[in-house]
Amino acid sequence: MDVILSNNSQDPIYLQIVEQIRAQIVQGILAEGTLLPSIRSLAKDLRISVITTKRAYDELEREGYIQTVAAKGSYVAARSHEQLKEEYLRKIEEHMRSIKLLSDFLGLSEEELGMMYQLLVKGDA
Amino acid sequence: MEHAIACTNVRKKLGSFSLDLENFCVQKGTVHGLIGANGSGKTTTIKLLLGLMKQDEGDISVLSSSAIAQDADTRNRIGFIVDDASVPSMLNPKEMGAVLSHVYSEWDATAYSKLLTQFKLDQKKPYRSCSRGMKVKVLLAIALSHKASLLILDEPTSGLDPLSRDEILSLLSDYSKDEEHTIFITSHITSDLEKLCDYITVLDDGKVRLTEEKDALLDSYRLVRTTHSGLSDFDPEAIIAKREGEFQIELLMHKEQIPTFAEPIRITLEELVIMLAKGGYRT
Amino acid sequence: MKALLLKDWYLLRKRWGILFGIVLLFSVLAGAQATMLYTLMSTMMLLMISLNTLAYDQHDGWDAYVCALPVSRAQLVLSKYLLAFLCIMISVVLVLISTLVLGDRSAESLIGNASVQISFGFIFVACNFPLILKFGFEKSRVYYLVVAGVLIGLTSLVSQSELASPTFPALPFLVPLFALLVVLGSLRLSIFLVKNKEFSET
Repeated sequence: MDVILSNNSQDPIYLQIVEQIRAQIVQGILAEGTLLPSIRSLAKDLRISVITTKRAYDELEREGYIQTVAAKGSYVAARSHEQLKEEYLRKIEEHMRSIKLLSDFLGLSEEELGMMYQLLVKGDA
Repeated sequence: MEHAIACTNVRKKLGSFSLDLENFCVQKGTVHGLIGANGSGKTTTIKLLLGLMKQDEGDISVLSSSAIAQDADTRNRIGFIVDDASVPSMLNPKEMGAVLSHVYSEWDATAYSKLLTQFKLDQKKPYRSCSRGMKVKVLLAIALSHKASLLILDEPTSGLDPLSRDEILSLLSDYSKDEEHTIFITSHITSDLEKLCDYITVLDDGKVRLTEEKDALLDSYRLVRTTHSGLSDFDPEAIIAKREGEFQIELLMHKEQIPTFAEPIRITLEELVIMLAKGGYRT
Repeated sequence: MKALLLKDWYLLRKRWGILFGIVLLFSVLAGAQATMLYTLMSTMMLLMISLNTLAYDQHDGWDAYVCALPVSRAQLVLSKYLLAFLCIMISVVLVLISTLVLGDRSAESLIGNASVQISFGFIFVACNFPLILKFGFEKSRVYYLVVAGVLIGLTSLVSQSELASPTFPALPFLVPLFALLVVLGSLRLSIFLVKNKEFSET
């Protein structure tokens, strides 16, 4: 598991951790059932407080990405196919928003955007 | 037992200086740092906690003991470093170990020896012949060699070179991985505390100015730089403190109160403490 | 307690070779001479050795350090008094041997010596220890030297005067007993003083 904290990010530290771990889970880098480092060893390694790592893990558990077993630690939770699909859909929607922003800026119409997408699909085929 | 240390309405007067710990506590299983300038009352606080001084008013509880000066059993579980208190200067680490093995019920001679080796300390060299850095390392080796559940450390990294400081912080970090272990550490080297601590308390002129979880503290404030002419664009109420230079002004603000045109910069603990002091500890 | 005496032993074996040599010298002289002077000096020198461990304790900051260790303050004081008693006994034995070898072997003389040494030693400790424990070695230095001088002088005079003669056979036993009571009282006082001591100096 990799976590690198950024000094440039304006996000609170616990959030950076949540996002990085979540991304690794979604991308499959952290497989189901993987045991995560304890909140204490993670805190010490990153030189942040255990309260912060606990908060991050609590958030991930709330979102359903990990499960904590008492006295054993936290594991990457089993994900149903539905849940994964939902995650990917969310990501696509995020990307679409970014595209819309950019195309609005340029003043592209929906048709022009559609054409660009068609070209892309044809190019990959 | 939730609190490893709890001070309620504690007051101690020493000449013209007065220490006032209204409601101060250290949670079990955390690393709690006390930042303060020289003379702010850090050492006095530590001495009160170890029973080397007695408070004028108020209650102090250390590992659930309310009379630490009379409670040898509790002192058995505390490892400490405090200014003005030291081991006999003519003894060497080996002899010290022999003496202390009869003092602490859980003395771990193997751990002690290992630490001395790790610190590259000569076991036969008298304490007084050691450099300041080596002396602190001996005291730390002692503090870590009797299965203490609480470490009370007064400026353990002061006067040490960066490499030694890193070594010591690393050891303390390892010690704190155990959730049964608590560390209370004072320092005026804020960068050390920033790396190690879960909670930070700022002590100024005998008074506690703030106690916060470290990351939340650093997450909630930002630094903003502006020009002398640009200063008027900011809401004066939102400026917690400012530092005026010749070519630029640095402002301390809450993250949410920063206007969109300004670039927020993450702040280090040291900068935060300095700015808060400049701003009169307005939060 | 064992730990504290062990610590003093480590301290002593490093430094006090010369002093101990002087003690031996005085003890030998004590045996050879008729006056009490060297006898008392031998006890005095040994007590100085034990006092010096106290001085080092305070100078090093050990007196504060030890109070944060799981050692009771009463034990701390007791160990100092115990060390002093040991020193007195050693000086008694040394003078005894020296007198047996070199000097007047009469029972009176031997008992008289021991009695004077013990009494002197106890009173010396009783007067000085509470002061040194309360105010520190440095500040008490002049005081205890004066006390030492006075006591030695007094003891010397008294032991040579009429009171030491066989007209009062119980005296050599009563005086040390009285001195013992005094030093026990001093011990209680010292424990009280140390229990309430605050280490606020920087």
